[in-house]
Amino acid sequence: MNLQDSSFSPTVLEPTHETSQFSGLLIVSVIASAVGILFLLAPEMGWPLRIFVTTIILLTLKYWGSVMVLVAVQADLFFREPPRSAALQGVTGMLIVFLIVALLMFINRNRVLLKQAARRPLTSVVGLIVTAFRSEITFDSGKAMHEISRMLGATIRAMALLVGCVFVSRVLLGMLPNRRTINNDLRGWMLDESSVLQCSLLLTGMIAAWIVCHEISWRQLTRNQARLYLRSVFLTIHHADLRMVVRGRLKLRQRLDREKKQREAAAFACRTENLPEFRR
Amino acid sequence: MMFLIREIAGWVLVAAALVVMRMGLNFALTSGSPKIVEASVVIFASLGLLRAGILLIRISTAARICKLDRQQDKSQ
Repeated sequence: MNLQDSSFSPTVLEPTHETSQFSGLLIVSVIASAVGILFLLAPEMGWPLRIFVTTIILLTLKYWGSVMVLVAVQADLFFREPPRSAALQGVTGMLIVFLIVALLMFINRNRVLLKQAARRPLTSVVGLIVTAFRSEITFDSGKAMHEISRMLGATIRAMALLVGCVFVSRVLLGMLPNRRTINNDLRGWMLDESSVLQCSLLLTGMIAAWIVCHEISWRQLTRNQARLYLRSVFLTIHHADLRMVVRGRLKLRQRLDREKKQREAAAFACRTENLPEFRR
Repeated sequence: MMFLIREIAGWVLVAAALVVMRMGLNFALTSGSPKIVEASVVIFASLGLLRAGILLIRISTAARICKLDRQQDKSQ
């Protein structure tokens, strides 16, 4: 179904008031937390440079997610080593690590929202944020408790995941040699011939185990899958050009199917957007 | 019987590839004078052996599955 042929006006595709309010608040929280973290980094850098870097990262936030934030954090850690790294030790360091990992999780969990915001012009995103601050937040009382409990559960799960990741990474990093002992440890390890040979044996064993596991899972093929594989191998070996044509047609068919599904989903959203609650 | 022979040949090739790969790793990890060029040649050869062995195993498995299902269909 083509959207242009449908009887719904384009305004029906816009999100409802409550949804847009919530999206605006989420965008504000993502931007605010990213700005806060970025201003915590590199305390010795001048303010104009910090503002410039923060603006660049915020502009790429919509398209690349948390990648540039992670790059900024890594760059800060790289330039902080070794003289100023004492500030990141102890409880303060743990707190900063918690904040950074939480921010990365928060941005990655709102990637869809950021991508939707990236499709709109910047003025409409700013308008959304302004609306979120000016208007009162209204919720349907029936759905409010359900939504609050769902959000609370998601927050607790995210906190548990965050605490687990940070503590496990701390334990693993504590097991690695630090800057003072790494040279001696590596020299001793390389001079010991038996440990090197054991390492090669271990690597070979790991590859062997991986192959065995893979082949065991391979034996769960159905008849159709087995026939398909045999045909594919036959084509690969004897008719590479024919295989290329078939793959091109399959990709085209997949793309057409995907576009059809997207059109159907958009048309369904159009139909249900303005219906009363009991008819959805 | 042919499938079994092919599968055994495939596993033999995989085992040979692992032995050759370990030889290459030993070349590279020798602490006195690591032979990187020799190691890369040997590991490249072992990857070819590994790929051929896995291909043989997979083809024989897939062909056996097809044949078993066809025999079941005929018996029904």
